[in-house]
Order: sequence, then structure tokens, then C-alpha cells
Amino acid sequence: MQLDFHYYATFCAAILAGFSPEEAHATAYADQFVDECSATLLAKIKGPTAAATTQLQSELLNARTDRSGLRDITRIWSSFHFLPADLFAEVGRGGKRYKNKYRLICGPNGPLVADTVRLAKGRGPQAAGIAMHVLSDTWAHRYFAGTPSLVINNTDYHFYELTDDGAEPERQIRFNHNPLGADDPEKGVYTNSLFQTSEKSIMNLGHGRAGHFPDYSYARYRYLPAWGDYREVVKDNPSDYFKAFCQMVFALKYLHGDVPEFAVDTYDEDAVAPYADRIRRIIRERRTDASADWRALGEELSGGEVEEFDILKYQSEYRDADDKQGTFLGRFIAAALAQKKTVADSIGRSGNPLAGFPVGQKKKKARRAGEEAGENE
Amino acid sequence: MSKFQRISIILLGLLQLLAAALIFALPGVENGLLLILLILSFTFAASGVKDIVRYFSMARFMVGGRLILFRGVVMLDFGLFTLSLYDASSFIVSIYLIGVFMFSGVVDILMAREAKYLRSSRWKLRIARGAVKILLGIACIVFVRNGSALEIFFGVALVYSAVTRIASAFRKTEAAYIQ
Repeated sequence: MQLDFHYYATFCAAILAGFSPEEAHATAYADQFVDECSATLLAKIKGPTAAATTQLQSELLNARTDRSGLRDITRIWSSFHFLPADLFAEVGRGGKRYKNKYRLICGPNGPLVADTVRLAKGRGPQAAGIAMHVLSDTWAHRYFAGTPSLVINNTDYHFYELTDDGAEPERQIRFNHNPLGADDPEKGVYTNSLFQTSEKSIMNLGHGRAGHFPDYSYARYRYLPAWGDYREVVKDNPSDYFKAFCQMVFALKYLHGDVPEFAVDTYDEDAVAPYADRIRRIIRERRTDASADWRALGEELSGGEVEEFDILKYQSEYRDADDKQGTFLGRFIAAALAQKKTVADSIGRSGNPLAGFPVGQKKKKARRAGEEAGENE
Repeated sequence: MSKFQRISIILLGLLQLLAAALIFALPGVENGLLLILLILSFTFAASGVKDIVRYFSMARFMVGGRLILFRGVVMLDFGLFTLSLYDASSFIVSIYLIGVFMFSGVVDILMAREAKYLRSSRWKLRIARGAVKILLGIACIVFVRNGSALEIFFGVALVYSAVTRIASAFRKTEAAYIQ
């Protein structure tokens, strides 16, 4: 997902959940800031680089893909962008190394989504925004893993967009490797990462091999995921994005205190119903940025102007503050560290070493704990 | 980077330095060429075996994973082919090695171009490495009939490759425990 959904759609969801426009702005800002908070940005504002929620392309290219480098990458991308659906998934083939990677495949409605939303309860709009980012990305990024892996994340030429055009109901997606080239939805040409046969190449991180295509709300496609044993997967983003929106409204109502408990697979379609047709239209329209329409809806819902996202908005406040923890970004950083620790701890305690080991728990102990947890499932 | 990876990289670099020293020390270009041929043969074969092992441990569960198997078999075959040139004339061996070396330089430049597009700070280093390889390759072609000059250029190429490899092993990395 991109700025249109992470910022403007989240603003709309927060208003529908009962947040004030100020709270909704803060929540939406934190949601989008997850895609901006790199180690480079944190170093610039003199913040802790351990709180990075994303990595720039230049950072990724310079990142080592040895064991510790891979753990850094996995902690960031699995915690914030590719939340694993089932850390104890039955795999039924392959050795331990293969299974560990398979179990990091992202998907919605897993136990970690519930943990993420509950963790944000009572921690302010910054934590709520982070939780909404993670939750909505589980829909957009499902079937890909937040760790560099060819055997999980690779895609090939068997990749077809399903269109509503009766004359051409589907067409093969053409991927190219020119990072400076813009995606062209009309011609069905999209930029993706270079094919690298190295298992751990950063080109094989997340949905890089499918480019930004899975991030577009209008995209409906069928393809052969590398992990799928030659079984085709059909991905329907318009349906998934609508569910993501309804689930966000429900989760935000929980965070606002209007719903006593958060449960996965629950969607507040009643609150969204008066705007459902309009939202579906915004989601379905073929374009790479739907910000203008989401913003117009947000202004209608809130009765006021929706600010444009400004990455610099809170940076000087944080940089110049004596009490950094009390600033907007200070609270964002605290929430990001908590989220990263929770997810990485869960992965480690499942016996999966790809995100590191929980503090105070050595490798053998973590593996034993994971095996026991798996047996108890 | 793990200690094992650091040690492996440094050992490989030291092996290259040793090969360069032997080329300079041993009289006659044939000895040096044969040494390089052996190292290259081992490298190709090891890469092939690694891919074959990767296929059977992980990639066979992946769509299109047979590509890894094919690559492994080709690299292993390439390694054995390189070894089979052991008895060929030094002229043929020289041409073969120069071809491999220059091809590696072209690959470096293509990777540098991609890195530049992706705004990586490493593209300058990569393009320099590729350019040096191609220049050394051209120099080898010019002096292909001059045994002593060829020795020097092969030796310099090995030293250059070893130094850049060893330098990369000292890059700082962080601990892996969750904080």
C-alpha cells in the first residue's frame, strides 16, 4: 500500500471510528510515517536508528546479507510491512531452513495482527497509526515474506492481470528492471527488482520481484508464487483493500474504546455501509495514486480540510526538544520499538532464528521453546 | 557478518595473494597460468556444487527451482572444463583466462550501472573494479606473446582482487540479539 491508503484512507477510517479530526490526522500521519522512518532519517534527527521502521533502497543495497544483516532486515520488514500469518504453519516439505522462511509469509487475520492492535491500546495515535499500517499491509502484502528469500518471494513470467475488459479479460504483466521507469497501468508494464539467483539477495525481499503491482488497490491478478508448489494464486486487491478498510474501522473503534475487545476476521461494514459504493469505486479505479479521491472523502467525513502529508512536520520539534520522549516522534519511536520487539520476540520464541533470538534466550533454548509451542498447537 | 564469513573471505584473499606471490616467484609463465587455472577450476566447481546442494535442500520446493540445478551443473561442468585445459598450450590458456577476466569486468560494470540507478553509494567502487579488470585484460591481450609481461599483469590482477576482497571483510556489522 502507498500514501493514498496509508494516509488518506486511514484518516477516513479514523473519522468513521469516532476519532476527532486532530486525532485522525495524527493517526494517519503515524501510519504513513512507518514508510518514511529509515535509519537515515533517524540519524538526521538524532533519533535511535534501532527504531527504523523501513529501509531506503540505498540502505538495502548497502546492507550485508550475512546472518546478522538478514536479521536486521527481517526484524524491520516482518514487524511493520509483512507480518507473518502463522509462525507454526504446517509446511509438510523441506528442511528446517525452508520451513523457517515459509512461516514468515505474510497474511491477514493471524495471531500477530491481534497482538499488534492490542499492543497499541492506550498508547496514543502514534501506536494506533503503526498498528493500522501493519494491519492494512497484511492484506496488500499477503503471500510474500519480509525476509530476503528467492525460494519464497520469487515470481516468474506466469503473472496475469485480470481485467474487467470483456475483449481482453486478462493480460500478461510485463515487468522491467529500470528503477527510473514509471509504472504504466494502461500498458500493463511495471518495474520490478532484478532476478538474482542468490537466495539471500535483497532483490528477493518481500514483493520486490513483483514490483509495486501488489500495492495498487485496483490490481486483480493470478500468478505462481515461488512457495506455492505450482498452484496458482488469485489475488483480488479491490476485495482485500475494502476488507482492510472495514477491519481498520473496527480496530480503531477498539483503540478508541468503543469496542471492548479486538478480534481478527471482524469487519465494521455497518459503519462503512453509507460510503461503501464510493469507497469501492475509489479502490477499483485504475491509477497509481488515489490520494485526491480519498482526501475528498476525508474532507466530507470530517467537515474540514485534510492536511497534505509533510515528512518534515515533526522533525525539528523532536531534534530540538530536551524531552524527546514527549514529542510526537518520540512517542512514535517508542511505539515502533515496542512493535518491533513484540514481533521479533514472537518469531524468536517460535523457534525461528530469522529475526534473532529473544533477549536472554540462547539459540538452543529458543528452538526447544518453539518446538514445544508447535507441539501444543 | 559472522566470524566464519569474515575468516572465509580473508582466507580466500590470502590464497589469491599466495597465488600472486607464486606467479612472481616461479620462473616461466606456464606455472603461474596453471596455478590460476587450478584456482578458477576449483572456484567454478565449488560454486556448482553449492548450487546443486541448494537445489536439493531448498530450491526444489520452489517454482522454477530447476534453474538453480541447471546452473549448478553448468558451473560444475565449467570447473571440470577449466581443469581439462591443464594440458593445453599456454597461449590457449592465456586467451581463456583473459576472456573470463574481462567478462567478469563487464559484469561488474553492468552491476555498477544498476547500482547507480538504484542510488547505491557503491556504484563508483564497482565501476572502478570493472574498469581495472577490463584494462588489465586489454593489457594481457597486447602482451599475450610476452611471457614475462603476462606474468606481471596476471599477478597484479590477483593482488588487486585479493586486496578488495580482504578489505570487504573488515566492514563493521552489528550484533543479532533482539533489543
